Amino acid sequence: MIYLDNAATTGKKPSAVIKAVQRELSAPANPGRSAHTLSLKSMNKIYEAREMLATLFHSSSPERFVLTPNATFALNFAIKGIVRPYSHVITTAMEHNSVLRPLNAIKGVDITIVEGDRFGRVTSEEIKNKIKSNTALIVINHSSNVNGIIQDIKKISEINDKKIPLLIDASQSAGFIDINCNSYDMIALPGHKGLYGPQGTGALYISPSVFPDTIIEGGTGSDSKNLNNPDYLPDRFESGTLNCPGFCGLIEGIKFVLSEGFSAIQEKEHYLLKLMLEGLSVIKGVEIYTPYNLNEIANLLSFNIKNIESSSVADILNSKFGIAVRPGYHCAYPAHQRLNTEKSGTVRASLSYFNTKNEIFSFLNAINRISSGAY
Amino acid sequence: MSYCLAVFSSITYANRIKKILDGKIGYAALMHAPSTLSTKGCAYCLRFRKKHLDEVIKVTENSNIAVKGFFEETPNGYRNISP
Repeated sequence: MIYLDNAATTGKKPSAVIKAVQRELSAPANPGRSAHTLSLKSMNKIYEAREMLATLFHSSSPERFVLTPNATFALNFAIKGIVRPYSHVITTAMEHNSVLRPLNAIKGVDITIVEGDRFGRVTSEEIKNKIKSNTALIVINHSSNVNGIIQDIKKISEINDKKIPLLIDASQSAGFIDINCNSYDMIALPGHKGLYGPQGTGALYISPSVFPDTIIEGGTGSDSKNLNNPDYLPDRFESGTLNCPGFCGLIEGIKFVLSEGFSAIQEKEHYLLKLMLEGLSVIKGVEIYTPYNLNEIANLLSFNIKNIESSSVADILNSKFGIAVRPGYHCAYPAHQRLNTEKSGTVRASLSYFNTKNEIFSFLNAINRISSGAY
Repeated sequence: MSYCLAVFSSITYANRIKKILDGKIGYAALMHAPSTLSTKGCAYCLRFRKKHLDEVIKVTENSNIAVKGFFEETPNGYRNISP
């Protein structure tokens, strides 16, 4: 199988990730619930996961990285913990449902969606112009899971002179783009995509500038006599047993990213993406929805083949060529309205560090054959 | 030999300080805090030799980590020695 669905979850993990999960599963204990040898060993791994996240995002405070089951939980913690009913939120047309649905679930919330240009890129001025007196939160998808465009989050953070909390959805950028968390109020991220960790891992960075309410309460292994969750991080947001085997794997995934380095990761994946863009652009009937400038995109692209449903293209790629891609709306329908692909969505091909040049050539050959009906 | 406890509300904080102290003061054991010292319920503590008290206090202050208190072990229980 040629795996080009890495934006959903990276298909190949470093061997150290798998070994770390197995190691923890062979002698598990509940981290942070006792102080016996095994529990402390597990707790140390959980702490190491926070330390690795802090290193990756240039923070000196590991405890500010709340461990979550995935980016969706992290986004829900941030959004529902900050936004009150009837307040105002600014976001973009390129957001995932993991942002739009939590927002929509808040009673009477006034959502301004900034459309941006034809690829969905927004400017800091567009964001600034939408700020109202009751704006409670700005949520920006750092890199689109539909067409890969990168938003200039640094610039957006700099225009925010009214100190409105800025939440970054780094679901597609964590592990691919070097992010300094000190410029943002909150960052939500998955562990199982660009950080090469197992599924069931994610995190929310919370800066000292914000103090979200809790949306899930329960046992934290601390302040047990108190019927409210603790008011300190990370315990405040970590009710229930953590996925220790998963976070043991995430530690190794982050080590892999740090040892390879952002430059090497970007260079390799952009080289493969360039091959894809160049190859697709000369195939008759292919329409691409990702800008060609590599400085503006992460590690994925979206396209369609004229007169063939995106789901049919994905099905043929899977069944006839053994190639995994994702069709449809990618849980981000407004992005497709922006890209004028709302009729049938798009085919998305997404890369990881483990993809090869030959895999891209096989993919391009398959698309060529599908577009000409020769399959 | 006299021992002291530094009590923290979160095991994350206790572990952060332990990692800084490891290699500096020799012995610093992370333990579940005695219930008499954790008025809000479960908490964690670091147990260390009394001669290192000043260093432990300094590390917690430099790390900006809140400590619920410093206590000295006595034959009758614990004596609050928080600065």
